[in-house]
Parts: sequence; structure tokens; C-alpha cells
Amino acid sequence: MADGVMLHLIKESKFKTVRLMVRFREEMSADTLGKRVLISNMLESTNAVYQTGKDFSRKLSEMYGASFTTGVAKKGKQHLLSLNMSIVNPKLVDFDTLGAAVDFLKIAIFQPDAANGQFNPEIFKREQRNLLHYLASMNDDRSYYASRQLANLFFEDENQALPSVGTSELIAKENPKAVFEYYQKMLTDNAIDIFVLGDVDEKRMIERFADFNFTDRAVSKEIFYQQSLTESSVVTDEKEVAQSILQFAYQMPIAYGDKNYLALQVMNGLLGGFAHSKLFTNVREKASLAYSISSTFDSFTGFLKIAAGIDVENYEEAKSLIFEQLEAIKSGDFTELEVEQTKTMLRNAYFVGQDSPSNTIELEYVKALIPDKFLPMSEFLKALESVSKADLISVAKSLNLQAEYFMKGFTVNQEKMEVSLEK
Amino acid sequence: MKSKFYEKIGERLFTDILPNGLTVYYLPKADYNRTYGLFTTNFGSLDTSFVPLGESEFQTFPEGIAHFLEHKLFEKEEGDVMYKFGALGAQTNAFTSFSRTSYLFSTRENSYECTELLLDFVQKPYFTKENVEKEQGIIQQEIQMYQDDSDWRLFAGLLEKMYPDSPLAADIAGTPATINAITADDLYKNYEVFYHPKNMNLFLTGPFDIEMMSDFVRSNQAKKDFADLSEIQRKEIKASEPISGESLELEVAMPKFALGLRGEDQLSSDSKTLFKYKLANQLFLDLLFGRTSQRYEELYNSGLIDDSFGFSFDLDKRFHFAVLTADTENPQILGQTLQEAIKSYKIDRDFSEEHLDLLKREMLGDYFSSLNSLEYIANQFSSEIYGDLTFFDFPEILKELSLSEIEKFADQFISEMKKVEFTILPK
Repeated sequence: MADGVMLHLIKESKFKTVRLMVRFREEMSADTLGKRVLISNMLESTNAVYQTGKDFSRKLSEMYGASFTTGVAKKGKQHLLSLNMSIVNPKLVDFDTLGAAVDFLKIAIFQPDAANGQFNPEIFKREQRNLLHYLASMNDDRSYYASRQLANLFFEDENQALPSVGTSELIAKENPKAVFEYYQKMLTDNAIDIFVLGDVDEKRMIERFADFNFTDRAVSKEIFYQQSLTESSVVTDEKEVAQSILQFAYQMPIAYGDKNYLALQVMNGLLGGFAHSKLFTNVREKASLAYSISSTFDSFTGFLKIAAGIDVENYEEAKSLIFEQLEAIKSGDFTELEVEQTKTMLRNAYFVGQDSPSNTIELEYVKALIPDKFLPMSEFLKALESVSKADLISVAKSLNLQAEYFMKGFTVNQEKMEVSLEK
Repeated sequence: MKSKFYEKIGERLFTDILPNGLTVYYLPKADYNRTYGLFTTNFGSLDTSFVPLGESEFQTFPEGIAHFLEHKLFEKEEGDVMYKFGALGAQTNAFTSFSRTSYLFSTRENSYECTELLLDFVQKPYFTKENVEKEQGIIQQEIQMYQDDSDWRLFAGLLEKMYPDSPLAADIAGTPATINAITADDLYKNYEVFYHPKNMNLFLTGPFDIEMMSDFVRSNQAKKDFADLSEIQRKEIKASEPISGESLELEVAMPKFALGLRGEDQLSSDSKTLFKYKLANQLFLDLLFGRTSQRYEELYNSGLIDDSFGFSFDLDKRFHFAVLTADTENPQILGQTLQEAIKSYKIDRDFSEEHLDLLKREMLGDYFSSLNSLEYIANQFSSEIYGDLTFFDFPEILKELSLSEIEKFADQFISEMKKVEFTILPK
């Protein structure tokens, strides 16, 4: 549509909905993160045309329950702010839900509730307060809190350690004027990708979005984050929780689309990605040392995490058994069957993702973001098939333990549980 | 096998009731990549008191036994069934609610093998003293995990106060003490009654051939023998008087408030009336408290509620209740405001034809959108309580519902309901 602004149309008729997304992207920075998260909330609540939450909701209801959400996310060094709409296929309800949705997006982006160079201060205050509440309540979620602590221990780069939703400090210090000024810059400078997925007329969509008049912009191409090895750190927090949480962070020198990328996928699946994995079978099922246990990775930041929910007294035992599982993979102690099973699971997950509109769009986004490294279906499947035992051993050996976080539960809740037995 | 085409939504549903009593639904979806199967028994955490097979007296079993049995069915002499699904490239899971236990798989390949495995593992129990003891540790962990979730504690705490001394007050997973009391023999007694095909249904959806798949399921079931089962006798649920105004202190950022409305009115046995009753009361709450209402706008602007505000209406043959929850700085005022709104709904500015039309539009759109999800459709069918009507009849029923009917059903509900407030306060 313009330099740095792309429209992606995906024709697909199996869904009963049409999904639209407009995504703004720029490099993650503590200076702009709080502003972006506030903008995301502002755009989602009201605008100059639909000035109250009620008018806003009523408009969406009128469009046969259209959903309009905004969201923020991280992809490597990049921060993403997205506006999403999902509407019923116009043919099902005999109403031009799609035309109405594009109008709605246009209003949301270009007619925010702002005057005199600032966002409506009253609404801004409210959204700021709600966000602060939200961030405080996120910390009530123990596993989220533990993951945040682990990320802080792991990431050297301060920007990278920040969560996509920002922090209380970053949100609290913003004001309606500074955020609105930044918003103008965001509209002219950010990379923009627009997606439409569904049973739609391409020509009409191109016309409708051309009307948004986005201008040329130079966009950041620095996607991947990779850090060098650091001293490994260990932190234990005492909290009043019934279940203790134990997490480990590893650095991995492999990124999306690298030669070893599929080997990493399989290695992680084998380690803790599935129910047949080493961690799940040996730590949870056989030794009953954990209720939940898994490993996950982010191939845009070189970060792999093992997380377990355990009983506080099992700490030593669980920890050494977790390490043993990774050692087993390093020494080739796994069967052909386990590998095949993992590959089948990954292949299925790939296809199953195509049954979900949002997943399909995310895949298309990766393709737009890193066209040189993107793996189309045939290459993905071929690379997956060809992962060998030696590849898996070498990937496992390339992992470096960088941090351990342990949320150590007190036993207060145990007493409470016994009291509740009398009911 | 019956087949019905639902024109409004463009779906064809096949229903087969097998000689052994099992109800099977097939929803072919040619352009989806995945086959999804859900095998459900009408047996949940509430069914702790019933007459075992071949006996004549009611017997009461430990709380949490349905959920325990769900976990245990995965374990066989040759190992965990999960690995067998894994070897077929499929994923499997299970969940237990008040009235149901469901087992599922999701797969792209080997859909016949997966269907067979699902039927066979659920229909072939293997409970021993040893494997029962081992499971006790795992479930204790699961119970603990929920203890740390404050939203769950709010809901569980509310139910405890709404339905004291009844199975509804108990955790679906039971407590460490009740779990430890479960024996292999208990599990078999529960299994024999509730896992009889007459008490179960299977829902299959995906890109399979309907003839082949239905033949396959029929022949699988024909190979198995089941004891004769007459009507299951479950003990009626009787709760003591609800307790309002209690609170609990937890490590939370802001108070969490819940208002429960315990339904006391007699539910209709006519399936269409029941369907309408449920929809009407959902719309009733939506009219008064939804985001399109004046009240929501005012409460939100005043800061008394935030995005966490939510409400639902739950209905089962044995209970029905509405729940409204919110994180709020001022639980007392919020409680008064909500109760006042319910009391004087007839003169409410949001209780209007125009508002109802808007909400019906939204509900219809949401309904169509939900049809994208095979899981959602399957879950709706497994929880079927409307006799001949199904989830696919929703658009027709919705269309018929008028404001005066909503008023009638809402009156029926709120004139006899009992109100309960429950709060979680920060430590």
C-alpha cells in the first residue's frame, strides 16, 4: 500500500467468520512501551465517534456481535500493537458486516477521543487506572509472576526483559499529551501489516484499505534478539502459596528458520513439549514429583524455559530429576519411537493450526516479517522429517543454563486446607 | 441413523442410537484438517449418592470420585493411554464437571484408530489398589494448584455458601481426605452404573466419510457386552439454607466480589420451554448488566467495576443459578447496586424492546462465530439437556423469544431465588 505498509489477503471459505487485523510494529523500548500499552487500551474502549463504552458496544452488537479487540505482543526485538476484528460472514446474516468492520477500524485508528493535542484526559485516567489494576492482578497469577522473575534474571538487555504489557512504573508515569504525541508518530513511522482472512472480495478490500492513506515509512528489520552467555544466577522467593514453582532459563543459539530450527522443535517436544516427553513421563507420571511440568522456547529471543509446579519438600529431588532428563537427551538416551512420535505431533500441530483463523494470520505475519527465513509448508515438513538423532543431541548440548527461579511456598495454606476438610 | 440438515447454519448432523443404548452424533466437516471426538458420560461430581448395580439401597461415595475415576481410566496394565494417542499423532484430554465427565481426542491422522482407542480405553477399566494409591498424590497436587487461583477460589467459595451440605459445595476434585478414602472397589461400583452406554454419548466431527465412520463405531460397539441397566437412581440434591455475607482473606491486589442467585423455582420438563428459560435468563442479565447497558457504563465510569466484571447463568437438571463477579474497591456498594437492579428490573431503562433486538443480533452473531470451533460444538452437544432440540436449533429459538417471555421467565427465576454475597479480601 506504501513503503512499510502491507495488505495481506487470505482467501478462505471454511470459516463462518471474516477476521481482520491491523498491526503496528517497532523496536521494543522502555521509552515507548507504556505509551503503546495505553494506546492499545484507549483504542479498545472509546473514540471520537463512539464516545461512551455503551455506544461503542452497541455499535459492535449491531454488527451482529462483531468483536473488536486490541492487543500487544513481543516478537524478538519488536513490539507489536494489533487491532483485531472478527465478524460473521455477511452471507450468513444478510448484512454487510465486512464493510461496517472496515469503517469501524478506520474510525478506531484515525478518530481517537482526543482534542487539543491530547487524549481525552478523563478516559485516559480511567484506562491508566484499569491497566494498573490489571498489572497488579497479573502478579496474583503465580506462574505469570514466576515467569516474569525468570525473564528478569535471564535477559541482559533491559528492554528485552520487559513484558509486552509493560510494567506499573512505565504505565504510571505517562500523561495524555505525551501519549497522543507519540501516537501521531506511531501512525507515520511504524511498520504496518493489514490482514483480511475469509470469504472476501479482494478488489474491494484493496480499495477500502487504500482509503486509509498510510504514507511511506522506513521500518526496522532487526527482528531477532540473541544474547551471549552470562554468569548463571539463582533466586529463591518465599511466598504464601500452596504449590511451589520451579523454573529454569536456558540460552540457545538457534533462531527461527535456522538450519537447526526443526531439530530444536523436536528436541523441545522430546524434552517437555508433549505428554510423552521426558519431563512429563519421568518427573510427573513416574516419580509423581510435579503436577505440571513443561518446556517451551522462543525462537526469536534464544530463550528456553523449563517450568514445574511442585511440592516444596520435593525441590532437590525434582531439580535433579529435571536435569537428568536433559542429560539423557544429550547422551542420546531416547528411542526412535519417541522421536517419530514427536515429529508426528509437530506435523499435526502445524495442520491443526490451519483450522484457526488467528493462527493462520500469525503464520502469514511471520512470513511477512522474515521472508528469507520463513519456511513454507513443504519445506517445514521436509525439514521436520529429516531431523536426525545426531541433530537432537547437538541441539541439547548447545543449551546453556543461565538462571533458576524458585517460588518457595509456605505451609500456611496446608493448615487452611485441613480446616476446610471439616465442611 | 437419522440425518438432519440445518439450513440456517449450513450443517448436516447425523444421530445414531445404537442397540446398546449409546447415542452417537456425527458432524462431517470436509474442509477441516482435524477430527475431534468427545466421549461423555452423564456422571459428575454431584453423583456421589446412587444405587449401585444389583443393589437396592443408596450408597454414598467420597467427594471427588468422578474426577478420580476420570484420571484413573487413562491408566491401563500396559501403561498410560496418553502415549497410545501420542503414537497415533493425536492429543487427548478429559474433564469433569458437576454432571459430566468427557474424554476427547484431536487428530489429523489415524482418525479411525483414535476413535477406536477412545471407545476402548473408556470402556475397559483397570483399577488396582496400587494404581489408586499412586494417583492420590497427583490429584493432591492438582487440588493445591487450584487453591492458588483466586478467581477459582471466589467461585468455589460462593458455591460453598450457596449450597451448604450438598455436593455442589464440594470441590469437583474432592479434598485430600476424601481422595485418600477412595478404593478400587468404589471405582468399579461407580463405573458399572455410570459408564453404561445408555448413560453416555459420543460426538465425532471432522473430515471423515460418514458411512465408513458410523459402520466403524457400530461394529466396535457390537463386539462388547454390557450388563442390563435399569434407570439410574441418583439421590436428589438437597442443600441447607444459603449463607450470605461471608468473606475470605487471600493475597490479592483488590477485593473480589461475587453475588450468587440460587434458583429455587421448579424447572419445566418440556425441552423447548427449558431451552427458552435458560436463554431468557441469560438475556435478562445481559439487558441489565451487559456492556450495552446504561448501568454497565455508569458503574465502569465510576470505577466501581472494571473489565473483570462478568456474569453467567448456569442451568442443569438438578440446579440453576446466576453468578455475577467483579474485582472492586467497594464490594458493599456494588452488591447493593446489583441487587437493587434485579429487584426493580421492570422499570429499568435498559429493559426495552430496542435493547433486546440489539442483544439478539449480537447473540446470533456470537453463535455463528462459535461454530468455527469444533471443540465448542462438541461440548455443547455433550451437555445436551434439551431432549429433541439441539445446539443447532439455537437460531430458531432465539428468534422466537420476546421481551414479554423474558419477563415471564425472569419473574419465575427471581421471585423465588435466594441471594448470596461472598467476598475475597486482600490480606
